[in-house]
Amino acid sequence: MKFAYTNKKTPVHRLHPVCKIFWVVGILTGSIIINDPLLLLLLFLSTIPFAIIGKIVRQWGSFVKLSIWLSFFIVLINTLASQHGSTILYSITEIPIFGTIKITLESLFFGLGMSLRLLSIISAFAIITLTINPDDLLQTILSLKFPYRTILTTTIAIRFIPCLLSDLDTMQDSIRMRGYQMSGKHFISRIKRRAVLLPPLLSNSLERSIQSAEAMESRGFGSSGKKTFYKTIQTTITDYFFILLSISLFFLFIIMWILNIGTYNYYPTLAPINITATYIFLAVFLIFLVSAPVIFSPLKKVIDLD
Amino acid sequence: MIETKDLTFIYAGSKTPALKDISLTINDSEFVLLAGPSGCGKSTLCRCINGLIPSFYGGKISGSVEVQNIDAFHTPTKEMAKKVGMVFQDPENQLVAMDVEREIAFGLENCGFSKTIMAKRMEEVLDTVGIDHLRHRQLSTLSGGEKQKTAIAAVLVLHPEILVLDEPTSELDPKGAEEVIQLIKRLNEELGLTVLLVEHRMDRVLQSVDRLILMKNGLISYDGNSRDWIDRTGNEFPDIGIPPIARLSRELKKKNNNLQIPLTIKEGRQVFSSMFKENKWKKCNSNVVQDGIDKDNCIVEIKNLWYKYQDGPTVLKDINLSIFKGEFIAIVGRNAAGKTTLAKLLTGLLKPSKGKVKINGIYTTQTSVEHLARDVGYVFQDPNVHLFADTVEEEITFMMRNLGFSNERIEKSLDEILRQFNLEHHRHEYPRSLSSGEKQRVALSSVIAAQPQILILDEPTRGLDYKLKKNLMHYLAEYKKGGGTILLITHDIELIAEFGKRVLLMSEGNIIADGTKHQVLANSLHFSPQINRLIQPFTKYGISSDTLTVDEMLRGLQ
Repeated sequence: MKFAYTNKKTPVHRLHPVCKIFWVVGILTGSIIINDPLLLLLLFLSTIPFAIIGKIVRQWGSFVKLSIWLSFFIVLINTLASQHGSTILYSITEIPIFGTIKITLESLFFGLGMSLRLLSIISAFAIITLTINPDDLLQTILSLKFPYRTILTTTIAIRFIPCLLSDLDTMQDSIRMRGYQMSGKHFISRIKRRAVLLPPLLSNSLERSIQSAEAMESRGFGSSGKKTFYKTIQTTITDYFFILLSISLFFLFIIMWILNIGTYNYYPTLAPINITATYIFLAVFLIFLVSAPVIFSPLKKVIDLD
Repeated sequence: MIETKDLTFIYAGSKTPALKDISLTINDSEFVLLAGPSGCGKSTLCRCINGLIPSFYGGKISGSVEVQNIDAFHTPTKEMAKKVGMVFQDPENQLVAMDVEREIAFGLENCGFSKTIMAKRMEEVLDTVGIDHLRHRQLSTLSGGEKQKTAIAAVLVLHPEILVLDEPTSELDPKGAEEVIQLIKRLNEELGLTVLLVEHRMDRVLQSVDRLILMKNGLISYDGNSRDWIDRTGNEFPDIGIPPIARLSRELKKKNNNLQIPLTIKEGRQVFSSMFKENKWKKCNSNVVQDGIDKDNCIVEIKNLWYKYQDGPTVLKDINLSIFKGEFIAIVGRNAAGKTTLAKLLTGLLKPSKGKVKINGIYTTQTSVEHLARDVGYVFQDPNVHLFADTVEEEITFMMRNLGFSNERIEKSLDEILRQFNLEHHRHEYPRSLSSGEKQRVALSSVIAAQPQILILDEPTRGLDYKLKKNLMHYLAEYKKGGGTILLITHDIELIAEFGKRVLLMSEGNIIADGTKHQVLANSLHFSPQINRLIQPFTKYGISSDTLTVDEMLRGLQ
């Protein structure tokens, strides 16, 4: 259950799903448009307070750890594959087929920049996954006129993941207790040895889904007529404000793209970084965005009490 | 009213009918218990009533089913939902939402009810089912019993007139099961709902039902009053277990024909009071001596064992335990008493936080799970987690091959095991396509085949009918005869009363009682079997206070 949503009743959890979706779109746009490492770092840092306020630092940390691992490969592959850049740190000569491989400072930094990009995207997605109630998300997406069956199937599939993981755990225990070596010497043999768990896992989930379908059918799923909703997802002033901020964030990035601000030249030599007004403006804006749910949460409480 | 006429159904791809010419009328507000051995057609009949058969499951169908004058064959299940509420076995797989309120509202939303009606019905149903305190909880944080109550609320909210429950308690622990059964009784009594309940634990419900329907091989083999059934025809149904107290009365009736059939302890005390007083009782030697125990061979030695889960509570506290070769030990106790954790420490899956676990002279910390598998076999409650292979034969030989047995030895044991477990006809079949009893036999045989010295079974009888339980105990007895040591984790007190030897009672991570079944199970409120609870006030007439079973009772009778 580690990576699933739990309702922690924090200002971040209380935000309307649409807000968080807009926010993630904003961060995503920013990370794609900008390639200035400092701005990207700023973008990543701006997501951290959400994890802290949302009290999900541990689970969020696991996602970030994963992306740091991925970053390692990005940097490695980039430095080895990209032969641009003028500051040569190291060169490996006479490799068959490849010839000479040079490792440049620029390509190293380029790799690091890309990693920051990945880091902010994963961080933002981790935060919304961990703080949006799947039921709320379903209802929100439906109100945006997406097809009901498709969305419901997706949410149920997501709901099954924890069950699947626990099945996997038990099966793994069970097979080890029958003397089966799970660990192999090599990576490939390890994967091969683990693969025996796949067919029973698949067959278990198939059985689960049939039972689930039966139960849904027995509770009127697919009845003719319009579907109604029991809960209304309340939209508060914070939500509107936050959506407004996220939309402006989005347009800000678009403007930056048009004006060619936030682009950074890694090649042929690393360009100097000037702390300009853009940085300061963006920094202030991001800080403002981050604090919005917290600043307005007491206000929301007052409204709720009314 | 439910009315079926000559209902016959054959599942697609099957040759034998699952239901044969079933003609049945169930009146409004009746409480009907539907029982019978696994695979007799109970679930199939339930699914015909809300139209899942034929609209969800295809097959050949004939006859008719009418529910409240609606033709269930030609009405889609989603429409039938307003008439028939259906609750399934597995609480996990029938829930669709994240929290209780939304789960309950799911049916209402599907049927397009307005917000005001939904709000009203929500309050009603939360109170009726008694889960108001859970309304904002997430489903993943609920216990099995609470989940099952939510599932019942989720169908009740559509105001059905009939409630069909297909083994709603077989995945639950005894406390959860008891709560669900009580709820069903109340719904029938207070709301007048028609209830059709499929249930193995007949001792819990027999006294409340108006009518008992027994099925066998797709046919109805009995339909009538449950007391009459026990009284007159009970002997004809060896496959179906009846409550010990009812069995006792049937036996005693041979002496006193005017005896009534009691179904509860209360009734039992009233019925038997004078008879017990008049009878002379002889002291039975109830001290069971376990045969075949090798007192010199301590196969499991646990010293000062503590276990704490990472970031979790301390589950085991200073456990000291010696198990000798050839012993049959049952571990009982509430949920979260530490039973399963203790078992997992024996297999090496968990390593002690403090203290030592020695299996056959080797500390579990100094070896691997895979290596310990030679000595310790583990059978899970759910046979599905054991089944990996494409054929039964491969499944059984899997463990032997892993442990490096010679081909000759494998061949020899395979034939033996297939014969012993009556699986010869299924040798080349896909294990997962077998019936639940057969699956369990495959799971058990796949572990026993490798001849581990200790066999641990975690809740092996949950959800099994009486016949399958008896078969299982038979296989375990065979294994013990061959010198095996058995550790059985269970909630099934009646089973231990009948078949157990040494019993450990665990609570909050401690072993609070360790002795023979007579020492541990007698004179307790909760952990005593039905017969023992019955006789507690009658010990003054000379009945041994540690009498646990019907057979012991009869032996004590002069």
